[in-house]
Amino acid sequence: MDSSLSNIRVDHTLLKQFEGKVVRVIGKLGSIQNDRASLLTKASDGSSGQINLLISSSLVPKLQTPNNYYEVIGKITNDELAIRVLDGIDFGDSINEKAAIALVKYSNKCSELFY
Amino acid sequence: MATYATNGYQDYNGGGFTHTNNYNAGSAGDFQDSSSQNKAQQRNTLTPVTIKQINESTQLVPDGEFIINNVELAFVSFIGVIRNVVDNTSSLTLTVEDGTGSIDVRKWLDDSANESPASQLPVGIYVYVTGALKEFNGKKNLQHATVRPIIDHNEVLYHHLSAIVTHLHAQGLSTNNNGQNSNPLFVPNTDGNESKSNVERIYEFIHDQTPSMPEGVPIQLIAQTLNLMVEDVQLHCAKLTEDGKVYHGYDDNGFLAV
Repeated sequence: MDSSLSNIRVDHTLLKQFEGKVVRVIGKLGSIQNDRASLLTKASDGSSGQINLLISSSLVPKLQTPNNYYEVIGKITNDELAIRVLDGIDFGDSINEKAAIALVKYSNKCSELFY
Repeated sequence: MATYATNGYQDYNGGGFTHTNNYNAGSAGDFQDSSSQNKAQQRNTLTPVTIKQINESTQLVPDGEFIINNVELAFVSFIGVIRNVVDNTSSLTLTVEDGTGSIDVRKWLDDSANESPASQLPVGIYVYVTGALKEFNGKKNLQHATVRPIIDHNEVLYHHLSAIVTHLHAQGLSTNNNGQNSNPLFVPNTDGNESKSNVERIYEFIHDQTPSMPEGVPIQLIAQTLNLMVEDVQLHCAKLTEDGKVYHGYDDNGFLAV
């Protein structure tokens, strides 16, 4: 895990735009199956989406609780626009979704502060 | 005769001395005090930032303030994930990363405290960091750093959002609703001036008159000058007193600003 890499806050609508990049996503953890899981995100346009996560076995213990919010750091894969997870942090079950949506929106508008 | 003269002289001396004192405390002294206090307060504001802003900030003059996009950075706060911990027995060097960059923070350990910070600050958790921004050997560092683990992760979101707001305010933009649609630069300011409430006007008047009226600014004078009812002024002053902004002078009819 290279911690010096800066990464961009995205939601499901921005995956294509940042293909191949390392990003940070906040979303609700959906189903988990072996090395795959899904992350449910909402965007500022009101849409909801699902992002496929590819989890290496060493990181599986970090993504344990479905329905909790997680901040996932990972690289968007080129082909299927899934995210290869580099790290996941449990954000608990009471995250202000409006703030999360706003942060994605404004961090990309004020990119001079973020990347 | 001789006694009288000595007494008179002493009285004169004493009087003169107290007078000068009053003069200093009443006018020039008070005034300068409050203005320098205001400046110091501005300089000491805790500014929410991203680590990228810290790393890109520059000093206009050596040992001066750090500046990034019009934002002055003296005391800063940021939020990030601990990525590395080095234990130097008397201090911990934490590498903190927030997705915009990373910075090393030295956290001094308190011998007397029972807690062991090393175990409270493991790699991989989010922390809230504050400190005074300094540069040493071309590397940014924080003096008097405080590091606290984050329990409610909403703080991560709110911190970044307030960093954005602080940044936009410094660019002269206001962040209303959907924000980006060109808001005229000075609208909030003029709005504020026109709709100044009576309380604010009273406070300003008392504040302005305090240096010249050490016994208290009389309620009657406030009412006359600002064209208000005496009862209203009394009411507002009572409120200001409760807020700790003004206090009674020699009697209940006069007020002084803090």
